[in-house]
Amino acid sequence: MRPHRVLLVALAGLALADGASAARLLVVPGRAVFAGPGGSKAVVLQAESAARVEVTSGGKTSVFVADADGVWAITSVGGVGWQERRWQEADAWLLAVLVALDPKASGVRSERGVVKGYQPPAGARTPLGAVEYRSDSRGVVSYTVAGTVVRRSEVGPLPQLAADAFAVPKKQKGGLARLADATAGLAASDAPKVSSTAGARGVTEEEKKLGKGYDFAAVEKVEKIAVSPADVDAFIRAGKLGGGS
Amino acid sequence: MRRLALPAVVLALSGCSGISLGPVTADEVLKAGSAVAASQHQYTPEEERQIGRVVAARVLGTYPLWDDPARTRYLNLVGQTVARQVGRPGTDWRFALLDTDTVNAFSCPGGYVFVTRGLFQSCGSEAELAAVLAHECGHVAGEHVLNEIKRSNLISAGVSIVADRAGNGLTADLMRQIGEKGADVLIVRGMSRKDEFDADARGCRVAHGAGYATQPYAEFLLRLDARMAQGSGGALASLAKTHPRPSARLQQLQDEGLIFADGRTLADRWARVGK
Repeated sequence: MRPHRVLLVALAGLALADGASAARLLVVPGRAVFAGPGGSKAVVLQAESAARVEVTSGGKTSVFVADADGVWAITSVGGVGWQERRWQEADAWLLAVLVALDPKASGVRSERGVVKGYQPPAGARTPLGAVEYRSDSRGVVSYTVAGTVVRRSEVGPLPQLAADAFAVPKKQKGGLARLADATAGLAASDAPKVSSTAGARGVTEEEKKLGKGYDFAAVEKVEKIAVSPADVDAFIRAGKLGGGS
Repeated sequence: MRRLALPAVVLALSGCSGISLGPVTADEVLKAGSAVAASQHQYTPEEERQIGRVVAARVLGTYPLWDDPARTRYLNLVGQTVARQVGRPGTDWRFALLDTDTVNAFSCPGGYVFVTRGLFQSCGSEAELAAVLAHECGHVAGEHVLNEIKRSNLISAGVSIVADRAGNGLTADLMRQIGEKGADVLIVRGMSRKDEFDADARGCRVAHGAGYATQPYAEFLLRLDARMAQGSGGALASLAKTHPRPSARLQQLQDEGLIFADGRTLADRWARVGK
């Protein structure tokens, strides 16, 4: 039996006004939303076979596929590991994926109702506009949210996702861990200002004692900045430079 | 290291150097020996990074980050392109933009490199930016700031720089001393002319090795020199205070044969992505 494919999107910073603390915010067939540390949330979509998400924003379409080997962003040069893909419009992209993962096109909900905005870790809150849902005979459902068009299609039925599916099914542990690793870099790949890992270790108590003249929080942001070797290789090739790895 | 250094210190302080320093106590000899040992200490990459983190925090306490993800990404792509030529595989290079009109760039131990908005916007091509970043990488590779900190004897031999399970690591007081020393070197008085020329030479070799022409860097220095001729205050005050005159730097590079016309300029990509 083929292993289940799980698409995990860590929506770091998707905090609601009250900083939700519930471990599980919403569970519907095939989908669950979980609260993470620091007000973050995770959306899990589980399918029998590979899941595919297409996001169109600013005239560009981004395609993601989750398969047995991980989560991939499909680009013009082939599949790129999700953690190695960077995004210029992180907020819009997160919104689009959030909506795309709504399996019943019923709106993304928390215990407080439909999510109406996205508050990034830094910067202004982005309102989530009215969502238009469309479907066709092939089961492809498209969404339009705040000018961003999202198309979503899946192969195979979505199985019932148990309430504790995120942690319990040990047979999926390897895949989940792999996907978790992939999504650990998701926020970092969205924009340099957002990341959940990338080696930063937090500001220590001793560092906090130095006060205003020392901005260790900004250092943390800098330490989270990363471009992948693959991106640098592509950059070098595009510029016809001679400094490849 | 400490055992090797002490005899030299004892000899010097006891008058064999020909300079009478008066009575010297055993404590003073030990203290001097410890300082010499510290100045000769080779830090591990993690220790260097920890020192650089403090200096970087001090820089960022002076100039805030320029929160421009697209340009920051571009800066990092160019930076990583040149950093590959530096030959310091243990260094985690990080490049960031500072939101200030001041025209300058700063590099801290451990690979933290900062470029001000004023300098970034003074560039006319990717090759110019690459040479600027390569110059900063040259400071890191040459351990110019680190050596200044070593010479200041702030960190005694045996001090634990990296925190461990026992909770050791730099204290706030020591971090402040390191940070102020770094700020003094980077922001207030600058590095030595020798170190600046060394960074320029390293930078041009690195940038050219990465595939960029360095002739645009010559033009960049000439433009800066022309601006300074009209007045070295305002946005150029920091650069004028912390670096040799651009024309002198260019002359040095020309004398060393490091201005290369062959290579990529990439003014178009700069105009499209960076400018």
